[in-house]
Amino acid sequence: MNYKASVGLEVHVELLTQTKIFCSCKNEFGGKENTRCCPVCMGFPGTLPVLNEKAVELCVRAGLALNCKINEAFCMARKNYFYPDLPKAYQISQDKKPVCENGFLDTKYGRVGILNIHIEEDAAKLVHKDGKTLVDYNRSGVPLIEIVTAPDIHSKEQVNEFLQNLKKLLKSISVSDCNMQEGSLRCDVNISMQKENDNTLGERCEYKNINTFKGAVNAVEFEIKRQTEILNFGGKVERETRKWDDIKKESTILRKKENIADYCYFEEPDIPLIKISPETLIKIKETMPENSHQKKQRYMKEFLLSDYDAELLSQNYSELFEEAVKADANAKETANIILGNISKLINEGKKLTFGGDKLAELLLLQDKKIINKTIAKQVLEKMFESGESPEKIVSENNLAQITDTEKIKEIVLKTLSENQKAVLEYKQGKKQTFSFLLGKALEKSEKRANVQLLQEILKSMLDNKKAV
Amino acid sequence: MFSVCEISELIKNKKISVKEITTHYLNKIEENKELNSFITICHEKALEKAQKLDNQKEKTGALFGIPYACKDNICTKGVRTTCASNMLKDFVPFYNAHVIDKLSQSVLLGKTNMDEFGMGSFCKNSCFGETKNPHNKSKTSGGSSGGSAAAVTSGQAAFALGSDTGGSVRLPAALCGCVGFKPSYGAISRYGLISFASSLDCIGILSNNVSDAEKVFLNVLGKDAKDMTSKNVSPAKTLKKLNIGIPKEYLENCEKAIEEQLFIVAHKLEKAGHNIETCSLKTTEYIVPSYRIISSAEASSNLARFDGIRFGLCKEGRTWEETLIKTRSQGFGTEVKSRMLLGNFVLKAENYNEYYEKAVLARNKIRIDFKQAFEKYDFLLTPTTHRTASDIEKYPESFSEMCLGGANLAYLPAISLNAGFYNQMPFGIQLIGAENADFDLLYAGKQLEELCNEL
Repeated sequence: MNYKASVGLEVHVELLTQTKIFCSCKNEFGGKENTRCCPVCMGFPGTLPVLNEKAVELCVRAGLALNCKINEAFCMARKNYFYPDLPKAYQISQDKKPVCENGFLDTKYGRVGILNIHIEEDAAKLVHKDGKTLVDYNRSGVPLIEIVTAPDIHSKEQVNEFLQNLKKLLKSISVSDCNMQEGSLRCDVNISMQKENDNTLGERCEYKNINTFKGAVNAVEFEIKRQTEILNFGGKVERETRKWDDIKKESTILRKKENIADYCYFEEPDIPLIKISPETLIKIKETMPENSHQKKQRYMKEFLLSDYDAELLSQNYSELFEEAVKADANAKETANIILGNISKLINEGKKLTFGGDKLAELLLLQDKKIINKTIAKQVLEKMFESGESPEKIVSENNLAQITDTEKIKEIVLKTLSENQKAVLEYKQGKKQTFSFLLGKALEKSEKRANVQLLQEILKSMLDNKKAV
Repeated sequence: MFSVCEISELIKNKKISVKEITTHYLNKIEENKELNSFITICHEKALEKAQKLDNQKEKTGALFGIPYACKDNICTKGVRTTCASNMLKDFVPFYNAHVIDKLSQSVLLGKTNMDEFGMGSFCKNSCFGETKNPHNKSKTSGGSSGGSAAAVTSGQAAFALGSDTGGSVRLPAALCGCVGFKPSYGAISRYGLISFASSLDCIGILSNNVSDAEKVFLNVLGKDAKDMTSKNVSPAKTLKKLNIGIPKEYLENCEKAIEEQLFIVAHKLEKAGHNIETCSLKTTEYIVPSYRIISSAEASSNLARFDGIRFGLCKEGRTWEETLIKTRSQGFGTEVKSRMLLGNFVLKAENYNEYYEKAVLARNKIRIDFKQAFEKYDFLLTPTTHRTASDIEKYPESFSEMCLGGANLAYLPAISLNAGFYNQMPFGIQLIGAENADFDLLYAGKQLEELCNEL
């Protein structure tokens, strides 16, 4: 019997707002415990929540980028349960009328439906120390969006790609920094299995709070195997909440079906119905940054870049690329140098100390043949070191290309006289020695000779060489 | 008995200092200790504040130097705020309620007794004992703002703040014989009011005349950035001839003497040129069930934060769960527990549609019913309670809630004022106004008060 897996994700993403969702405490990561909290986010008696408009805006942005319908009006709801990290013993979230509904995100394995995106507050953080558990309220009240997918994911590979695509998208529109190490992206995973041609979903198991992509992928792999085994033995999969251990690569039961929580949801009375006017929606659309997907499409269309180049540039180097092109650099050349030498240097740990305008300058010097490709590479390295303009670097270091034919002839002559053996070998028919001689000549010119001219002059001198 | 106006005049004309008037009230509080109106008396702080105000150069504002009492569920910075509960017996907030900030030019005399967390109609659910009725110490002051009503009526404070979730300002006002004003929902910011039922709670004002209540209201009203449900009410309209309806459902089971008096007042209103007639509010029978379900549901959620971790009582167990259970078992009284259990029950997934959802639908119908009535009438006139403090406790609590809960469910302003005495115990009549028509209601209240004083 063949079984097909259906996976749905609930991704919690911390928003890039200045302040928390219901109070004016700063929304930051780290720092000394309990230094960014107040009576509101600590749930003191008599305090009331005041909804952060920026959080709503960022939720709408996410909804727009994920092709959702943005509801004209939405309301908040209380999700009630007791836990030491939940100061009010309820989380203000959304239930019946979320901000965004019915969107999708494409992966190469297929389209994944987004059921809804809703805003909610984060809980405090529990810290275990010396056998005690302490509560740090810095995180309490940080604004989150929860992105709930349909069970449209069918493999661990698709889980990975979905999460990667989601992260790229949300980063590109400045909704979140999606930094999993800092906890700004976590997900719950729901997995069920059904017979190959069956459309009814099987019983699902839930994994909560997985905080690495690898963990999500591994959990899915494990669970698919676990459920398939049960079904193959003729057993029944039970509804459970499980905990994933990414070190042991196994999961354990947290809660069985009978103990699945009833959160007693009801509409939050302290926050009235929030309306999003058409004008507000337009403004959000107009002021939101171009998302990475849109950027990539634009690069492909406008600059005729390949899918591969456009993908890489839009993800990591869009600012540098666009600045250079704006300063009149050739798009293809810019793409090449960024994805070539520049990314190589960055991967080696060098820091980008200059902007697109200086990059454009460098490419122009190359175009005008004032420097050749080899020199350009040197200049680039110096640019990384000092952040100086390429023109300055070239003139200060006397790196300008040699294009004077007389000078080049001089260099070639010198090279030939110093490498008589090679010349002889060439004359005897070993055509490979040409590259050797070219290399030597180039070295003699301190790599500054225009390569094309050098080649021409060297060839003509070798072929027409009369005894010197 | 001083009115706010009178005190204000005396202070402005330098006939009395703030310190002197404050001392007067502190003495009155001492004299009336038996009534048990106060949980905390701010002896030193009040005198310090009074001195500070006396030393101030600028002495403006209608409430400058006026000594007042405040129900103990409103947060006062540096002054114990207990909600009459063991859970908060030693809780001292480090922040003020918005309304307290607004009263910065007045003098807080102390925090008044109440039913625990606002749950109760007879001020008997307090861990500090019951408050007695100033007219008869063996009778109830009414609740839950019993302490505030008793204090104002017996001259222990010039005015007092209370809270009204299902009648908790108007009921004790009626039983003690003073004015109890509940504004439109949101008209006074709830920031700092320890929530009982968030969509029903209103801060209310208790005073000895309607004019005083209006003065206080003017000082504390208005949209507050810290409370999203707060709002500005409409300015006063010029009203000449009032259209008043008496919903007949509110007269059922009413004490004969109270009903008779109501109609005597109605007759006087007619003679004074106003239009008055009986009408019908068919949704009246849903008021108590809807109120009970919604208020309990919201309370069960609002009171869940009391877990012993950050504030309030903490009874440590071996685990977090044990601490939670011990703290809450010992911290809450029986009535509070009972309502939270009911609230929890109606919100459970399997019960939600049958109870909570129905209660919300009923609430909406009640709201529409009132709205339609206010298309025809400017105000509704009803008894505040069906019995006086003499025998009101013989009846179940829902009996008392019947005339009062509608204004909370429909977000309406309402005011109770004394309409007379029956067997030496006071009773009140109530005016209910349209949403946001608070100033019109206060105007009508003043007319009504004049007529009642003639009786």
